[in-house]
Amino acid sequence: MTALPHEADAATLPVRRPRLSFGWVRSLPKLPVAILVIVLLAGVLAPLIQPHDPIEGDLSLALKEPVFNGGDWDYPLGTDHQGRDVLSRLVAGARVSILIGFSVVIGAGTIGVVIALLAGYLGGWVDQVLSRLTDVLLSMPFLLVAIAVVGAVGAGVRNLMLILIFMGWAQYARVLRGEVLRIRNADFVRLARVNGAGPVRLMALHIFPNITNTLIVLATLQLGTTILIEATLSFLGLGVPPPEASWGGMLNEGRPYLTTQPWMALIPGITIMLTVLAVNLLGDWLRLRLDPRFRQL
Amino acid sequence: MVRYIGLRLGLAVVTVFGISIVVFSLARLSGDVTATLIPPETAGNPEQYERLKKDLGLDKSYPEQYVIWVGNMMQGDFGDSITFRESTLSLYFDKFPYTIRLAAAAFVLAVLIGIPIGVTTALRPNSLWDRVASVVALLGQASPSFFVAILLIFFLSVKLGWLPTSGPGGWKNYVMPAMSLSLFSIAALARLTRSAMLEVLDRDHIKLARLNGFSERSIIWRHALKNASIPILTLASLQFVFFISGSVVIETIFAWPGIGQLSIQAIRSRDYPMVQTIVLLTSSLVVLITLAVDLLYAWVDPRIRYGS
Repeated sequence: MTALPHEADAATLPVRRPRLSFGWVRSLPKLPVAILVIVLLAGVLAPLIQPHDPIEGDLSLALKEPVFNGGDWDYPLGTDHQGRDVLSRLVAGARVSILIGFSVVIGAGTIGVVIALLAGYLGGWVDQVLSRLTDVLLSMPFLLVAIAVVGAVGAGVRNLMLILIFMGWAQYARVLRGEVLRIRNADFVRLARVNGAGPVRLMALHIFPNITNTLIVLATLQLGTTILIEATLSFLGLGVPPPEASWGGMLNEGRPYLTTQPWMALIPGITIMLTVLAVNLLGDWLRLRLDPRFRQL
Repeated sequence: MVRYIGLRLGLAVVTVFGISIVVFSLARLSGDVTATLIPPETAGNPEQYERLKKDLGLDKSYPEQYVIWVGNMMQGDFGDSITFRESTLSLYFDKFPYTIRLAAAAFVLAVLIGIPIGVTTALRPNSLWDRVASVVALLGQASPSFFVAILLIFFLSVKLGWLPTSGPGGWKNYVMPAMSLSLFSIAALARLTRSAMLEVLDRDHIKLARLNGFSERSIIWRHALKNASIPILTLASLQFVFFISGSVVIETIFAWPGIGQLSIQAIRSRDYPMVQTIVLLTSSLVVLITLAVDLLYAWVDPRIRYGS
């Protein structure tokens, strides 16, 4: 029975072909993939490849210009106000962004899927309670709540992850619940039920595989926003605590030197932008591939 | 319709009730609030600790504290701010106009720039203008608002000296904060409008309008855009909510005396009654906006009323 879902799905549900928009950009999914691979490798290999210590600096070497603006190759992207190598801090910051980004996507995604399956499949009061809870979280201004909680429990990578997971699952639950409702009554699910499959088996083996496309698209969207939110919080001094390196924190440290050393702020800013751009482009591409209904989001 | 309004209103009330529970719990996440509030010089004095705890009503159990808090709010008493020693409600409404004005300015920018870009690019897909606009839109959606703000300050204030960098004042003071707040939304609206317009322009009633000899302008702005407006309106209303939340960062950068700045101050000084009021009222506002948009749709499109 498990071999059938996709055919049954295609036969019973109308699928509209997406119109290619921004097609020429999308014909280059190599670019976003290349950027993401670089960021990912940098993050994973950070302790091995960073040329200098990202936390301990040498004050006598402070505020060196990057190599394309008159600096030297010892410090290719220059040094910051404490004489720390900007490239090393960028690489260490990639590690933080990736760590938080992926753990939040996995954590929030898992919770969201479980809630969506329970609410959509069981219905009744379970659905009522879970849907209201989802409404509550979606109505709360994400950034404000994140800041309030971090302010109360203290900044730090672990706290940041937990609060972003706590706030982040609602989006998955809202969208995926609708998917589950749609699939719950499809013929292949009824057939499986008649064949004696229990609720857990139905949810895990018959319904879940049919919501994975939407799940992947949502996860990509969330990866981008999570990286942005982490950067925002660190920029405000409420995310990754200094002296640890983070892209948002580096941008904030560069602010006072905007007039004299603009690259100190520009480099982390551009890095955040390129990374989020790559994630978004990949998301657009996946959306067209996997779920035409999403192209309007 | 009355039944539908009643149902929606009931759900909104339940949601606000849920928000109040979450807000109450979040404010107590740090564990012992008293310990974080007590001045360091008296920290060793258990008597003063107990007195402060009692003054703030923190010696009671959590359910009791919650009931007292909600009961007081019903009578219009949202509690006093610990740092400002003033009603949190009046502090909130003192700052609120600044945030709303900034959000409104950003909203106007997003709609006036985003929608025309979307419409004009949809008319000539893959033209040079379409390509340029799409690249700008993609970059806009990837730029964190605080980075945009810093770039604007760098170019428009530091390099060119055209605009003031901080505080409210004349229209010039609105340009950079509103611009950095809305760039993301301009991009999002432009992309959504484009795809919605492309879909509508292909439909039969547009072809019919063309055959009937309506002017091109009337076809585009009246017949097509009107039919593409539902997803655009949804996204636009969401952006307004996004602006209120995003103001936290922008207000900090531009020294804008609104809710965003107030919340950062309150959080830094662990002023939990202030934080509670801010999060509760702002979330309730979001619920209200969502409710209004839902009702508007149901009024416009009867299928929604009877469908669910």
